[in-house]
Amino acid sequence: MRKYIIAVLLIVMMLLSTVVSFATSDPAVTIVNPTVSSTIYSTNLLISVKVTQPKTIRIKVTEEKKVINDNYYSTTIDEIQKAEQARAVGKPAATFVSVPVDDADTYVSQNYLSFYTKRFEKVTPGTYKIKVDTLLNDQVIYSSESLVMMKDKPVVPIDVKIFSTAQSGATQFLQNLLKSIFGN
Amino acid sequence: MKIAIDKNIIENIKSVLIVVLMISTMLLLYFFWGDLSLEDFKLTNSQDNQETMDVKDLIVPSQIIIALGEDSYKLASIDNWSEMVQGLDEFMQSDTLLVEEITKEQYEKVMKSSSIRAKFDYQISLSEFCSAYGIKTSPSFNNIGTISEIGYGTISKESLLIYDSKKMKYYRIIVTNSANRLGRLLTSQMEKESPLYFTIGKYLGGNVNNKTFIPITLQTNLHNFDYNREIYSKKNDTISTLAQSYFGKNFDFIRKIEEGNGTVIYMYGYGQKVLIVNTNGVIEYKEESAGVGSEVGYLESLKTGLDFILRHGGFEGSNGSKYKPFLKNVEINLNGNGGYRFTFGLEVNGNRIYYQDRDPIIVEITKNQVTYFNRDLTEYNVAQVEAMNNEYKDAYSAINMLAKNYKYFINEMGMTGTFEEIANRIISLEPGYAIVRKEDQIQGTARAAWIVGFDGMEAYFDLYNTEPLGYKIIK
Repeated sequence: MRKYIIAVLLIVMMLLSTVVSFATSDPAVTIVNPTVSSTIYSTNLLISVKVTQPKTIRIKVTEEKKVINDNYYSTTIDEIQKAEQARAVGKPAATFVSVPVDDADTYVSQNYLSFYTKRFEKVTPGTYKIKVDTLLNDQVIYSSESLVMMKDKPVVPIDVKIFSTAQSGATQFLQNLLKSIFGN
Repeated sequence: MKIAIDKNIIENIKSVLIVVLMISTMLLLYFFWGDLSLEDFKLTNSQDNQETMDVKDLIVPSQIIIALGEDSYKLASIDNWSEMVQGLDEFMQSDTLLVEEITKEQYEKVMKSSSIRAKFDYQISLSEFCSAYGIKTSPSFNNIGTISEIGYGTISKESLLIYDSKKMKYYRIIVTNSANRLGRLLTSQMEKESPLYFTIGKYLGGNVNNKTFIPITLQTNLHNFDYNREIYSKKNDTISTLAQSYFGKNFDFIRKIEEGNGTVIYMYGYGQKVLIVNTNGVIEYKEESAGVGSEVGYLESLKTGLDFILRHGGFEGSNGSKYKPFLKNVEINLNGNGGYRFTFGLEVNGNRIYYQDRDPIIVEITKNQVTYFNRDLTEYNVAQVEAMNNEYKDAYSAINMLAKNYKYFINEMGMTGTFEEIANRIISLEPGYAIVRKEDQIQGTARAAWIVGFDGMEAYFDLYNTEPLGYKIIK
């Protein structure tokens, strides 16, 4: 009898561990780009997912919006993370909605090394979520996601100098002359 | 008195005759011992049939890179090169042109944001580059060695940036003029609908910081085509006609040697000039350096080499298959004698051909004299190329081509390391035609391929199914 109980307990534990793994990320699937919680100053977004085993994955890109009085507003990664933390300790938190940017893609990797890549052009500023699910018989067995913030290219302020002030013509001439005589 | 005058006249006539005889003797000796024949003095229209080409047609970059920011790029068509040259010319019409060395970080910061730059695969100094295009130069340009990249970025509008890959140095030319034309070209290319490229580092993340560009998707009109090597048949005297173009129609003092394997060698004197016509169609011409005259510059040597190539078949196969040449490599101060070795590559249909065995055209110039010439041209099936010219197909994903062939890099090419480490060593990746063959193979198929360049190696993979086609070790 004792043996049966232990066996049942083991089976239950194994099943539970599988349930827990639903929420974990697949070690054979890595979102390489964009890196987690990064900020990109561009209108082009490159998605690159590395797959190191034959797998079927589903990739979904959504724009995260804050919901205020049934209206959607742009948000930040910081706001989303703070809301998650508040929710975890039972405090009231802002509500967010995921607006799909495109239809979800399904990618089948038949090799032990391959990459899913896709680019999005003319991406408007905002916070985007890249969610990658590993599928087995159409069921999600692993899931991972990455948040990225897209921003307009910063206007380079006039006072930002990449190069130090140019030397005077005479100094430069002298320097060039010396270099040409004695070499570099 | 009358007799005395006659004697003087006779003496003068004798003197003139002696001078004439002397000159005739010298000329005859020159004809017999030299390589001239009377045919050379004929007024011919050989120039009419000769291809014409300017040195400027060869001083072009391999890529014009448009940076959009955040490691995303576009590649502008080389057709925009003349517009870029005009932009550089306008920019350099500045009253003062000061040169200063900058850091790699400064260079990359400017080039990473909105910028346009031309990349050269071969060595050319800034002064020679400017001289070729009639662009204003400055004595301070002598401080810059060769230019591997020249570009302009909008975050430093007063600078023209230069990268010298040989010395691994970065420079900027401080300009007081506005780069209106370059700015307009940059804007138009940024807005143009064209494939987007990202760096390998962007695809792979982590410690991979490789800056080689690869597209996510690419539509190309590259298709396989058949070729034959140019073979000179002994039956119809084509070898003899070929040799005449090197030695003149009069084969005086020329020895002809036919080797057992069919190779024909023409030799003048004791090897002062040698022409080798190999059975696989490869022609080699060697000429002993006369060692006279002064050393000439890069552009003049290139012109001498180009003229020689055009006089000996040019860049066209005997069946009318035309190639567009490009300068692939230049070795300066060859063997320490101030000479130049120019290696030419060929393009078909706007795409470069990569040869596994040897480069198709090489010419060496010493003191403005051609001392070595190699021609290994193939005739391609013109109808086949033209028929497929407008058929575009999606190439296999470049990053997955690398991933799928990771084992090939390890097992066949003898590379070591993780996939990321190998990817980090890539120096070029582009579509092109690959001719993979044995040295004596006279016909085959040029394959549409992904060409992956490493330092010292080049690998070829089918453009549409990533099948490995071969690789070569670059000496």
